[in-house]
Amino acid sequence: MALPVPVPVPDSSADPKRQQLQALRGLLRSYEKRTGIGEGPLVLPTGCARLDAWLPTRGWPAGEITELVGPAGGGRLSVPLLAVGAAAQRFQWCALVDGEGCFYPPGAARFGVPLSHLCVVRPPQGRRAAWAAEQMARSRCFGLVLLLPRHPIAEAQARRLRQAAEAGRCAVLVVAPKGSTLPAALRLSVEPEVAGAGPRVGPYRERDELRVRVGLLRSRSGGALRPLRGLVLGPQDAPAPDPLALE
Amino acid sequence: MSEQAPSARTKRPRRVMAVVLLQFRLARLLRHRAELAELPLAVFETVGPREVVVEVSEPARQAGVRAGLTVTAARARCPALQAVPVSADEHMELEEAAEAALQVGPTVELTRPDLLRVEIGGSAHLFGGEADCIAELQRILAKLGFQTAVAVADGPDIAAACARALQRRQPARPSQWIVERHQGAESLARLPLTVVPASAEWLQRLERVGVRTFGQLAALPRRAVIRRFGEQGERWHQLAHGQDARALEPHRLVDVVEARVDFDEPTAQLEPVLFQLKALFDRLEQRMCGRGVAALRLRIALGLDRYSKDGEGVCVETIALGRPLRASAPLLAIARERLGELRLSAPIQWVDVAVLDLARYLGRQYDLLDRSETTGEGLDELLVRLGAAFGADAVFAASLAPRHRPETAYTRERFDPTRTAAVAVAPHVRPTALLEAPEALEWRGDRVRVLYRGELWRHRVLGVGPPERLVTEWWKQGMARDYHVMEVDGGARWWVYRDHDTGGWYLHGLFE
Repeated sequence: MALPVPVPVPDSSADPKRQQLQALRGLLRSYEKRTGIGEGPLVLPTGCARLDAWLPTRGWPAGEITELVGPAGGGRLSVPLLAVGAAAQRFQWCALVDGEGCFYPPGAARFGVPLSHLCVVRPPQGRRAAWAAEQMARSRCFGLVLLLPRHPIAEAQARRLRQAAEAGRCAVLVVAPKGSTLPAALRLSVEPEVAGAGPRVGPYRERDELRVRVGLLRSRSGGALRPLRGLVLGPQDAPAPDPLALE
Repeated sequence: MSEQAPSARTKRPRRVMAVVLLQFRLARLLRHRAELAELPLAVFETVGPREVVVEVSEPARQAGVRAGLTVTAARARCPALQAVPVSADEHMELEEAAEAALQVGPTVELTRPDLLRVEIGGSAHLFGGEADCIAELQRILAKLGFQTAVAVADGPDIAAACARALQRRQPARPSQWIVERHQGAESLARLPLTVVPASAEWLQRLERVGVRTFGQLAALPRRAVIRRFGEQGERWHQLAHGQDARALEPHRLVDVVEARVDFDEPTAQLEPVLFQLKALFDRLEQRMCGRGVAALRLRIALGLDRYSKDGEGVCVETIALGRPLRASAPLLAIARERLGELRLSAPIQWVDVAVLDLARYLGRQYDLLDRSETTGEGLDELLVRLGAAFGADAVFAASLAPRHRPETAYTRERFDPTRTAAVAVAPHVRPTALLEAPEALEWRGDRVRVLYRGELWRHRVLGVGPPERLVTEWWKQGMARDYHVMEVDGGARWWVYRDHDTGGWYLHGLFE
């Protein structure tokens, strides 16, 4: 029989497109390593210049947990939300794991948060919220993961969350419930500043902004002991519009 | 203008790929029972009173077992031989392979037990040529656990004859043969007639007149062949001259994409189940690739051991994926999480995976700068996994909706980072946290108190903003409320309202 010489068959597990892409990524990584660029920022801007300047890390530290504590209704969620707009300008996506089940997007939009860049995960009854945050932080898809846990985070889960933040080079911000003890690099208190006692019941000058005081409770890298007073959170501190917006 | 022909698509010549799944029965057996791979193994079929070996593994071949022996004779040569009968449902695996083969051509014909024919005349150029098209199909079928001998020719029967010839030369190793256009007769000329399935009697009739190869048959006068061998003789004569215009008979796809595996011994461990699930998801992935679809909803059924104490029944898990997905790795990750939570009353006897809802798959755009790729899991897979854990509705990007009722002032949309949108700003002051349900507020003088999640909050009111009246949906369960921003001692701000119907005050949101 005059049969042709059998042609060797390529490796069955290889997807040519993916292989080419991996090769290009490898080249890119070696270039980044050689030139020291492209590794991404070690901190994520908070979206508020005053807060950036005051923080010892000059922003939210990537690869670490930052804990925000404070009374309910005192702006402890609004402070980290400002960073979503800043991240969008750097082409990074953000995630919010809403274990509390109370995040209200129209309120966030008042702060200029680009909602299309914010992936919200709302676990039923707040169960496994920390696990969801861990998965998102580890994925390297998100620059910032904001966690609103309903229940205190167990020590082992907190440790895994920190490891995930480190592995994913992601800034994890936890609006911590009372009694939480997280291995956080930064622990801040966010408290409202009294706008001034007006008439006990009656017209009150409604303002768009919140005025908060931020204190440093713990920092691995030292920093200012004096709290940051009069931090105004509102439309005037909102980041520029979404750079990817079509209109 | 009328003289010029319309720009019709160039008609591509007909080309057919024939694919023989090498040692198909052994391969499908080893897919289910990988532990047999190192043993001397033979697959036999029952022909009348005899059990005849049809395929043997390499260890059995080295021990002297050959196809065509009876099982008794084979065992005499190799006492450790494991003889397994041909399975009655082996055609299901062939159908799976046929579905997967749809990735390279629009029409697939299926011939039992182990042959596929694919029309690739119009699609080979999409893969860079016929050789690359063959390589692609061999890669796809290798993922399913099948090695193949592939030939491409102008017609289905010429291609099949060439593929069978390759199979005879290398029964266990993949190989390929491209017969150039109009070269079918030359390629067939030296091949024995036995590469085309026919009865022994028919072949003997041809052999009696000295015809053993297609070349010898082609040399005979056409009329003489017809006179002596009738219609079948004419057909073979045409084939020997490279004339093969038979149309393929398309394989009809079954409606349900489903795969199942049975365990030899019931297992109470998760890992063996996941191991088999991986194989099932691989198979489903290739089938969905062939159909150009992806899964939206999966059903994993675990059959429990019916002989154990509480083992009557089947445990069924339905997983809504939220977005089309077909890659086996993320599907397995989802299944691992879901099954890890199960507490079963008995060991697992079998696993069945079915795709309940299918959606058209629009492909995936790889991103050179996407660093998540380095972790092996992309954003899509992550979101699907979270959606499967919490419900597809629980993972979303919010979008403002022009509605007055605060609870419905936004919608949940699929998080799609490639979609760009203008930054929307709510026109009125809104809190960043909205309670799941408004809490009744007790307000006396300058004191308020409210019970929220079992915790009693007592505060002094420092000030209350002007009302924002929201009246809507009077045509159904209406809403008439006056909303205020309330500042309490300590500086916290609440979003409260007075209900027009009841006159009561409620806490509805917090400026967190």
